[in-house]
Amino acid sequence: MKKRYSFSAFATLALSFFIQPATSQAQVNLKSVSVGASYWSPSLDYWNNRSFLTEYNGGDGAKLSGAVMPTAALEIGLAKGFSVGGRVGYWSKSVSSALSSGGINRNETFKLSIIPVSLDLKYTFAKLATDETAKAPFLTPYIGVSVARYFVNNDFSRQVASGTGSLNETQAGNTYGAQVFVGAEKQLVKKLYLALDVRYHLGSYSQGVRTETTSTTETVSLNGLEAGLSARFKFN
Amino acid sequence: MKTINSRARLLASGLCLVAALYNCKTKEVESVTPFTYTFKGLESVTLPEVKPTTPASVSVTAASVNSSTVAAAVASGLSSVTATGQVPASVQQAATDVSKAVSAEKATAIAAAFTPTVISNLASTGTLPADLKTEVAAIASNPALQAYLPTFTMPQVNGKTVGGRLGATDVTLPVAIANATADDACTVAANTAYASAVAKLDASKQTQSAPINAQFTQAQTTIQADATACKSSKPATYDGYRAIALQQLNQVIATLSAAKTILGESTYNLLSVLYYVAYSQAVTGINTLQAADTNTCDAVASAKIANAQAARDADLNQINSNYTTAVASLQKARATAIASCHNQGNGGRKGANGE
Repeated sequence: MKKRYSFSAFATLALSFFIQPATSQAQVNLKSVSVGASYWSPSLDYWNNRSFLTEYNGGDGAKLSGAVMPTAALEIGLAKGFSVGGRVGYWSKSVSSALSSGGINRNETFKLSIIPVSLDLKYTFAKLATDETAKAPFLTPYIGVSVARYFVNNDFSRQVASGTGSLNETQAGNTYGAQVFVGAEKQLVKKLYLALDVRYHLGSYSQGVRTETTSTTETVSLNGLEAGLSARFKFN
Repeated sequence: MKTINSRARLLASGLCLVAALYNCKTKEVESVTPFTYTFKGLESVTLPEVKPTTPASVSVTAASVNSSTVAAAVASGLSSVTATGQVPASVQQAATDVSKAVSAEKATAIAAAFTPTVISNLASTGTLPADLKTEVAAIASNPALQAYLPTFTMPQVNGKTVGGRLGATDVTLPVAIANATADDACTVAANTAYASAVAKLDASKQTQSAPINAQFTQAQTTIQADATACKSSKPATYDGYRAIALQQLNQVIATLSAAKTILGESTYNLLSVLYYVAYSQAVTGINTLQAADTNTCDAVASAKIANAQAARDADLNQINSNYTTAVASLQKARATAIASCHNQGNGGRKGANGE
């Protein structure tokens, strides 16, 4: 419920930019589209510290560490350096291990995929459009906050040697989170820019956990730093 | 106009995006299917089948009253005295044998003492006046008269005279089952499988024990009912014996009275004493036999119950023994299973850093 309220506030704020007086209407436009790649290292504390993955590799465990994530985004300019935008990425990581336990040999592969979809509110520290005589800066910094929705997918495979129990299965779920970000962009040629974006994800999702005798729910943290580069095409 | 349309599209897009994000509830990611451990050593242990054993049979030697053939011959001879006017040798010999145990004068007194009241009292209560009882006992113990007196066969149960008791063995209690500690999924699974297997053994043991206990309970009920019916039938049986004995006494006394003049006073009295003593012995013997025979009903019941109990206990002991052996096998299988739970893996780091 708290998430819904905060999201409503954000949505109201975002929409307020669309109902500006007529004098500001001309500034609402498609500002840019971007594609890039980021390295995001979510905590995933449950998987790394308490899950069955800790039994992998002869008991040494297997960790879902960071991975490079392709991203795509678009940005709509508003007024006075403010813009809103949408951004999506695809993060995945898999681990596997041979296991021999209870007299049975098996191989397991676990792949975790996360698609973060965010709605960004950004402020760019850019020169005023009317100041045409000013020299273009080397870097144009920006800051922002996002509300994000994370779509989580498990792909799990178990192959049991000479026995029953082999399976391939998928589980899916989703959750909400937030992001804060800073960045800077540099003009390469005319309308093409290179942007460095650093953002911190705040969120978690619920993961059901069953054993042969118990059933619980674990909270998996998505907190973690993301940093990446993107090529940005600006329309004005 | 173009600006207004553009703003409307942006507004609609924004609303759709906001609505899409807002309306979707979060969803928990379901669990990965846990690995199901199977431990053949824990699943294959079963209890051998034990069927209820039929209890051993109880041998019973029935009580019996054996009348004297010599006395019967004398009675037969007496019946011909009035017709022939002659005293048969058997009758004369009987009088001679009685005279070895009692004098003629005393025989007269004893014969006179057996009044109808005394005889009636003897028939109904089995008792005689004390002095008469002493006299009768002395005559009856004389070896010369043993052939003329009835004999009795006492009942026996399993070759033993009634009154012996048979014991039963104790039931062995089942062994206690210790629970092991669990430290990982495989060990938990092994312990769970062990507990499940033990529970199956418990159920199997219960299933096997139930008909055995039921058979014993049923046998016990039947045996006790039989004993009750047995005891209730005895008075009628032995009343019949006493009635026959009295009838025979009355008949032979009447015969003696009819032949008294031919027999002579002395022989009449001696033979009267013989039959009064024989009757007294018959009544005493029948009463003793009735008590013994009644006790036989309980003795037979006790023996049958003891046999049923022994059969039951042997079966239950066998089941308990099988159970103990099976649990020991399970414990061994669990130890093996837990030992196999140590993840041998590949020991390397394949997949540890992702792919």
